[in-house]
This record gives sequence, structure tokens and C-alpha cells, in this order.
Amino acid sequence: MHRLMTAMAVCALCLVGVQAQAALRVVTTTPDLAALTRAVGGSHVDVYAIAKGSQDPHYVAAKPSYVRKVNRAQLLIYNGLELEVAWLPLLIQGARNRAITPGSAGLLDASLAVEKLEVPEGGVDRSQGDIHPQGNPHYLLDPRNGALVAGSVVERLRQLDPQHADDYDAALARFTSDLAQRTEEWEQRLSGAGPVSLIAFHRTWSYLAEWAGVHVANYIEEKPGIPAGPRHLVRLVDQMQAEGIRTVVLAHYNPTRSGKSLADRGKADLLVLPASVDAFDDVQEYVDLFERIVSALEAVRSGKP
Amino acid sequence: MPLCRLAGAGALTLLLLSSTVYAQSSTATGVSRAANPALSANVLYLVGKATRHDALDEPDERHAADADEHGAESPGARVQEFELRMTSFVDPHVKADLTLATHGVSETELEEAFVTTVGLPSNLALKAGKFLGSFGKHNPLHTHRYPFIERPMAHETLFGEEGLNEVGAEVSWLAPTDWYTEIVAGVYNGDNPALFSGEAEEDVAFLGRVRSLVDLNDATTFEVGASGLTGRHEELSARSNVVGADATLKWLPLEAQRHKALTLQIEYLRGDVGGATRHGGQVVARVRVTRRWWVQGSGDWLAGDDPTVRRVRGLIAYVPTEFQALRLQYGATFSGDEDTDHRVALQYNFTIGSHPAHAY
Repeated sequence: MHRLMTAMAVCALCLVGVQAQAALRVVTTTPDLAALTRAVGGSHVDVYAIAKGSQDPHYVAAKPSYVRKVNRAQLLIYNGLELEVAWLPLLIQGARNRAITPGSAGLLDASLAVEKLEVPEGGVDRSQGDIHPQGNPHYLLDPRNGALVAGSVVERLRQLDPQHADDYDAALARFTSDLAQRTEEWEQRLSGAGPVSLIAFHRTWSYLAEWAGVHVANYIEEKPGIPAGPRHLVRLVDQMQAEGIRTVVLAHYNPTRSGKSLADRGKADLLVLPASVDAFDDVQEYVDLFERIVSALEAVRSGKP
Repeated sequence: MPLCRLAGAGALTLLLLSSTVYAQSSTATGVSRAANPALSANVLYLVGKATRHDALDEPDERHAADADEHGAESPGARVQEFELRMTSFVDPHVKADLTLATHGVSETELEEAFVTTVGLPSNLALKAGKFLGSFGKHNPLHTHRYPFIERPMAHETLFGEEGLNEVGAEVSWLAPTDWYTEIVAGVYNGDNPALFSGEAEEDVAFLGRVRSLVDLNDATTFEVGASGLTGRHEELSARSNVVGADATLKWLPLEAQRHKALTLQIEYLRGDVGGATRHGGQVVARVRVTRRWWVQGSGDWLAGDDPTVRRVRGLIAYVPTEFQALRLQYGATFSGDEDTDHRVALQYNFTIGSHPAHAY
């Protein structure tokens, strides 16, 4: 009898132990936010990204299976600036999860940590296309913003899981110092050659361009989210010839046809860059993203993309 | 001169005063737009030509007279519907959705006015007010989201012109399973003219629905659902029962969410209204062939006391952006020994205002 009691007590302790070990369930809208959260959360977090690396995060289907993921989340981190406006509200509404209702600690808008670019001045309406009224949402393509967002994620993880606060702080310190060191290296590599001018598909690269000193001369999309008409492509070819632009850049998830045809007609090279973590098999960490982009830009500058 | 200066000063003071008033917070003025609801409006226009003007759209004769009045049957160009939608949080606990709809140009109705709860415990959600009931796949849709221009004949006949759109409440529960399962229980004041013959004080109708969805792979989902509705038909002093089943296969490749899509869907209804049984359903195929073009086909049928009516429809949609669409539809209806009805319709719709999230 005594032995049985002891066994039961041990079992109960084991259960308590398992519960204490259970990782914080975090759902992020994008693979970039997932990579940052994994980097600072380590084994204390169990992270699921809704948008996959191959997907354009503007256009994700609000699948009921994601509703279940959000339903179980203890923390939901989103990019904000209306990037996920077409699908996230339905997931949150369907999830019936009190931990992540607007205003609660379980819901984090990552964009609050960064300074926005391209915030429209004056009135915004749809004659301007799918414009983001609060600014360009692709801020994680500047590595300095990655550090800021990682900081805000850690702040929230400490609040939700104070038991592991020291671990989160230590991981953040490691992550930011490593990222700062790499950023400095990338900046040196980028400053090696003269300025690069290019045509992009969408306003994906504004933050990257500002950081990397790249000039985006124009866009294949006539207006954000609006596909190019033939006249616009003709104007772009003229502009490329007049300004000597030799590169057309697509994000890995952009459709390739218009970009290819523009590159052919403008005698330019077509460069496909990863716009998010998990874009390609060798881009699994946040730093991989910039390693790949910086290498590609270096090659453009030396004339061999 | 002093007068002039005085006038100038007065004008300046007025200008300053008005700009100060304008800039002041609503604490003093009581006028604020900060908490205005999100507004969106949708308009549907329809141009059509049919070889027969009876029998279709309004199989229920009780509505045929109304239909002529607001021109639902008349050929030519018309405004099919104008819909104004308002959405806002009431407070931290409740969100409200209001929809006003004008059918044609003269008849405006409160199509939906309901609240939904935010953050009830135990995976529960409550919806209360007047709303399109959660029966099957087609009934909850607003007119501009119908896969084809008209509703399926089985829905039109069993639920009537306005669909199952009652005053009541629904509780839904998200099951804690790995795959998505939702169970809905509803209770309504049975007003539906086709099912419950209008407003009675004590007529209560009940709804039950269960649906499950599994991900077959990253791009494909399969959903099955079953629904049931029961209430008292006052005029006939009998029960009205409707049961339904639906299955949907959806394919939406991750790399081309805006360029390729395929939906196959079947929905079946069986209604027993005061002893008369009618049943029918619809099979739908929708293919997004490019970013801007959709091609669709459907077959629907209605059987019961009268000879079985069958209809096939084909539709091509041009969707330049998510805010407007132009759809051309051809339909042929075969009913017993009557002449086959052929009809062609062109529908244009646009949406302005608050960005709508896209239901899956």
C-alpha cells in the first residue's frame, strides 16, 4: 500500500514536471516572425507559422485548420500594417481564444517596434491600388528591424512566461550581438561597389533598399497590387534604357512572367531574391535571408548575377 | 480705417476660433468620428434575357406576385441589390454587424443585424439577432457571394425568397480535435414564410449543424457537413423539417493563391413541410484559370410533388481586382413536358469601403 502511494506520488510529480516543461505555444503569421521567435525562445517556445515560405503573405487563405492553430495559441504574433488584413481577422474571430483577443498580452503587433517607411501623406483611397495606409509592411527586410522585433517578442515572452525570463534575455543578447556583427559585415560587403539601380515587382524592398543603399527606380506593378498593363511595361523598358538599369528584381513568390518579359525586352538580368525566411531550402534562419540577398547584390554590382 | 482693422481682426479671430474648435477633442464638442463603424457597400447590376418568364426564380407561387412588383422577373437591366454593411465592436465583449439591403430600387430591408461575442470561455461563441442561419453552405452567403447569379432551386423553394434569415441565436463550439470541427445549435423565432408561415408568437424553430474539415495536403482541404432544422408550420398546424448534407473539396496552391483555384461542392436538401416532401440540391465546380478569370459550371435539381425540375448553368467571371467582378451566365431549365427555358444574364458588382476579409 505504502509502495503504491509512493508510486502514485512519483507519477503525480512527473506529471507536474511535464506540465512545467510544456513549451509556450506561439503562432506567427509569417515565417520571418517564426524564425525570430525561435531564435529568442529556444526550447521554451513551440512556434507555428501560418504563411509558408513559398507564399505571398498578402494572399493567404483563411483555412479553418489555421483557426484551430490560433485557437490553441498562447501568443499570436503578427506583422501588422495591414499585411494580413485579408485573412487574419477571420482566424482570430473564428478561434474563440480569450488569450489572443485584441488588447490582451497574447496578441503582439510586431510592427509597433519599428519605424515605418512610405506612410502615405494625405488621403488614401483605392485609386492608388492596394496601398497600406499605415506604411510599408515589409520592414523585416532590414536586419536592424529584425533586432528591434526580436526585442519586442522577448518583452512579451517574459510577460507570459516569467519563469524563463533570464533565458529569453540571454538568447536575445546572443541573437542581437550576432546579428549586429553580421549586419556590419554585410554593410561592408555592400559598400564595396557603386550604387545599384533596379526595377522591382512590388514595393517589397523599400526597407532593404534604404539599408543596403539600393535604388529601386520603378515597379512592374503599376500600382500596389495592380498588375502591369502593356503600356506600363513599354514605359519601363524606355526608363531602363534611359537610366541604364540592368536588373529586374522579383520576390521569390512573385509571378515570373511579366518580370521575365521585361528583363528580355530591357536587356536586363532577372534576379529572384528571397523575401522571407523559408523562401528556399538554404534560407531557414533570419540571417540566411540577408546572406543570400547580400551575395546576390554583390554579384549584381560586380556584373555577374 | 479702425473699422477695417476691426473687421480684419474679427475675421482673424473667427478663423482662429473655428480652427481651434475643429482641432479640439470631442470632450468639448461631443462630435467624434474616432469610433465610427467600418463601412462597406456593394452593388449588383443585372442584365438578363429569358425565353420563359414563369416557373423560375420564384417557384413558390405565394411570392410570384411580389416578384412582379419589384421586377425580379422582368428582363432588361436593373439594380439587383444594393447592400450597406456596418461593422464595429460594441464594447470589449461584443462585435456588431449590420446589413441593409435594397432589392431592386424600392424595397429596403434589414438583412442582418447581429452581435457576436468575443472571448467566451470553452471554445464557445454566441451569435444573436437577425442573421442568415448556419444551414449548409449556400444559405449563409450574401447575394454578391453566390457562386451563380441565382440561388439553387432547392434553397429557393424550401427556404423561400429571403432564405433562412430569422431572429434568434446560435451557439457554436469549436471541438478540440486535430482537424477542424464546429458544432452549431440555433434557436429562432420561426418567421420564415415558406417553412413556418409567418410571424407567430410562440413558434420556435431549432437548428443543428456539424461540419468537419481536414487538410489533405498544403493546398487541398475536404469538408463535410450536415444540418437539420425543425419548427412548426402555423397555417398547416404541422411540423416543418429540413435536413441537409454538403461536401466541399478545395484546392488552392500555396505558390499561386491568387492565380489558381478549384472548388468542387455538392449540397443536398430534403424538406418536409406539412406532409409535402421536396428535395433537391446543387453540384458546383469553380475553377480559377488565371488571376482575373474564373470558369464555373453547376447542375441543380428540385424534386417532389411536381415533376422534377433540372437546371444547368455555366458562368465566366472576369475579376480585375477583388473589389469588382463582371459575370456572364447561361442557364437552361428543364421541367417535365414544358418548354426548356434558356436564359442569359450579365452581372456586374463592386465593393467600396472597408477591406473585407475573405472567407475560405
